Amino acid sequence: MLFGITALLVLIVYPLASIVIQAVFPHLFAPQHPNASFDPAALGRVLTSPTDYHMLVDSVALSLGAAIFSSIAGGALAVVLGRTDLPGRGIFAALAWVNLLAPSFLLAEGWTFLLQHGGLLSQFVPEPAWMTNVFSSPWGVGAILALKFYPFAFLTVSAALPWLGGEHEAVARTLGATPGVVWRRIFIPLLIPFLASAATIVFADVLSDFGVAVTVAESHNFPLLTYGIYSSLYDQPTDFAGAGALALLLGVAVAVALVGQLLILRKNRYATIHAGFRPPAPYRLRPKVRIALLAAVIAFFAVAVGAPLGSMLLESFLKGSAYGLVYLKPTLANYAALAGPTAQVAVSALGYSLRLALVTATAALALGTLLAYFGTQGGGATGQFLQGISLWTISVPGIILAAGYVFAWNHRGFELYGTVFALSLCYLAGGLPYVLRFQMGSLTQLDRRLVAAARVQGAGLGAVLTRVVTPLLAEGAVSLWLFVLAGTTFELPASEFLYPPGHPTLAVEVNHFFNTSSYGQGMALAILAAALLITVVLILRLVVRRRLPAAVRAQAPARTF
Amino acid sequence: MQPGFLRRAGALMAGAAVLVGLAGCGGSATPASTAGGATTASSAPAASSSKGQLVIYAAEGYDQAMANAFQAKTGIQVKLSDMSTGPIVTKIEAEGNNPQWDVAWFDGDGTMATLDAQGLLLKGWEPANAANYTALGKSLLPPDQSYAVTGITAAGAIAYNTKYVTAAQAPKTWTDLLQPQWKNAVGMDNPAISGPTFPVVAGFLYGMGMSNGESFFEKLKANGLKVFATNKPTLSALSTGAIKIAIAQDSAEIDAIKKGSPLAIVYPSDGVTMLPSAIGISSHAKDMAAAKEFVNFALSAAGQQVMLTKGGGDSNFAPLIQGEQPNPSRQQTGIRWNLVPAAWQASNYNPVQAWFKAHIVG
Repeated sequence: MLFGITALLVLIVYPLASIVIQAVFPHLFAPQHPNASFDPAALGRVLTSPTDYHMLVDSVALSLGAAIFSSIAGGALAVVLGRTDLPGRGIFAALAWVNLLAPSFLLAEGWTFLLQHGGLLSQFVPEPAWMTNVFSSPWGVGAILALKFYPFAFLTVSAALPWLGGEHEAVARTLGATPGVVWRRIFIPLLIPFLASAATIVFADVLSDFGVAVTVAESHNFPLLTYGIYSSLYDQPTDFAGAGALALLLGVAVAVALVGQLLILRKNRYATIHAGFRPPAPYRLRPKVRIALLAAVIAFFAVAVGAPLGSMLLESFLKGSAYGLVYLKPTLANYAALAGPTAQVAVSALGYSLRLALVTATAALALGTLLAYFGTQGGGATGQFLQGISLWTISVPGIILAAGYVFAWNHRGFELYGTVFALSLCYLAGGLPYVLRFQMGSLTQLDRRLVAAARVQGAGLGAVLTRVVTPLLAEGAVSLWLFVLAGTTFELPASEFLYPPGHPTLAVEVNHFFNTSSYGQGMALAILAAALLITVVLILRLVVRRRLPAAVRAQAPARTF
Repeated sequence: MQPGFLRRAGALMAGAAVLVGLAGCGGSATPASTAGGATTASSAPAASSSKGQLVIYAAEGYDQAMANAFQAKTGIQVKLSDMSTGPIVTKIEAEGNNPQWDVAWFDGDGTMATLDAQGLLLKGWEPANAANYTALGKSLLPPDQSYAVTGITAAGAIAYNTKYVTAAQAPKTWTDLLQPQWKNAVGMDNPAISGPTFPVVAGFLYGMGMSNGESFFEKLKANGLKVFATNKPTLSALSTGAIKIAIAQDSAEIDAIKKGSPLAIVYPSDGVTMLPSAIGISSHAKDMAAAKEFVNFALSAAGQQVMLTKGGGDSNFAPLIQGEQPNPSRQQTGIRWNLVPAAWQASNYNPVQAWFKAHIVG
């Protein structure tokens, strides 16, 4: 436990504090005459300025809207794919996975290429003038972000669904309840904690979103908090104090969300993984319903996945899509260039990022699961502290954490900053909160009687963790590992700030291509990386499926991943 | 807690730490031994550390080519961090007086001057090749010799879409943009996001005077001015016809033309604001001699040739070294250059940005 707390302090609290504290001690890290004079001017400015108030309100509104939409969409999708006999369930679940793993700056580029004035769509269909306007408005942006993050709700609810056992339904049916009533009065209330937890993560993630905030803010007078942070950090003179103050404001917004989630959880706390469990049978759909549902799901994925990723794929096969001009002449030149000498840097960046991501994902899973275990076994306070820290870290843009790492680890005589070690730790700090939250959610689901029964039989803590907890949470844990792997491989803002000079990461190189208007080549590199990751995903899923204990596999035949 | 578990958990954590450390070793080894090398151009392995090592933070399209050329020529190992000007300056300021960088290179002498004001740059040193500056080049050097200038572009020149506008119809002066036929047809970058654009705005406010300059922009806005984030979206909008006229950095406009956009460039007769590219050395550079050698190389004929040919859009700059010719695609004559003093830019940065955000963007 002590190890865990130290790890959290070193990885997250200390670097974040280094930048946040400058909101009230702005001269702590000044290049000339650093001193610890107390000067809350920046904090006061942020708290009293009407612009910053608008930023807070706009950010919260956007995040809330996206969170609600995501939860409903993701939850509904999970139910449809997890509890019915809709054909192609496996494929749709895989598509949701692709959505989850695709980085948002690439998705944004895909959408831009498709919908911008003169973009891909306008080559085939005369485009109405309002389309580009809506696309970059808060509504459009909120929709795009929700479509990026619904997989959180999908993943959470899907993992929970198989454990909502047939025995609940059987009892209800014998008492005369129709399936509709069973869902309304039993299953949905059981799912509410998972939906709330997913909604909170989406809320925090949308709050921290960077690239989109800049686009919306400057064209629609809808300023967002992250845009404020962006301005503070990149305008001259750099205003670290202001950025720290805004990060604090983000923390406040997130604390409110967390309180909301905790209130919901307090009323709806159910342990659903237990013994004496009967797997639920999938609903058989009537033909008309099946067709309608299939059409709806296909339409949903066409928009969520097909549009941006199809556009990305196409862009990698086109030459000359710089400056908005689209020449519909397919060519392999972008991929061929990757094999040539000029792309040596880019390809080695890919290998570099993958290596770092493998280590980060493994370390995050191990450390996060351990911390989550202590968080759920200890008193409520530990768990809530961990939840709070995780949520705040997720909501703070990567660039702030990275800036914090510079301040925290750039001391003469102990220069961790500038090495790949600092980058790795920052990646770990970025992935850990997701692991913590997800594993804490799963572990809460675990019936304590399982653990107690194991202990009574003489199992030590180690045996409990490895022989009871891990197999039950295995599939979820693998999903988490893959999520951190993909997120780290494509991570941009912190990488740009912290990469050791001379060793760029994948996203830095892709962004470099975009910045020099070589979109086709940038996309080709990104797609190559994605193809590698997908291969890893597929292999891993096969391996895990084979090796899971037969008893656990048999328990949940309707699982989709 | 069982003692056995503690031991195993400890072993697991130690193993994880070793893994992370190994990744660290793998990543930070010299380029010759891993695939992570980004700067080795020559086939020979990286030189030994007795030859020196240089860390460069740069935001120029030719920075990688220059790093490779310098390393090949001198054997000094170069480690490059390439990103846009904003993140570079933030990184430099965050590192404060324990800098990890030796040389910084980006567009904007005004921005470089703010670093000098914080005492982060080496002062009082002039490179040997400064003797080869043109008169214009010499005039751009700061009095405290804290940075050198390696070339200029026009921070903002007018570009028009030839499909919608003929050469005769194109605006010839800045005030032509206020005419009714250009209503809702003009676009520019946002100075808060696009580095080269702040000098454009500063140019008007300095050259016309604050109140005349502000009213010029307000009239532009009343005529339907559209503000985009950076050069790319502005020029994309121009190339696809969403707008007919754009104010953007001329090197980017030339790049768009080279890549097929139907555009032509006009340098208004009342002048364009100069945007010098500045290169500075850290006051705490670890290998001062190597840093100075690099700056000198950037001003040499060999260095300038690399910059003029291997930088993509950024290669379309106007050199300040005698005997160097710009790219043929660059207009050579008839440009009136206006200069906004770096010190004025530095001291007026905040109020001008705030005014622009409140009155023009919002």
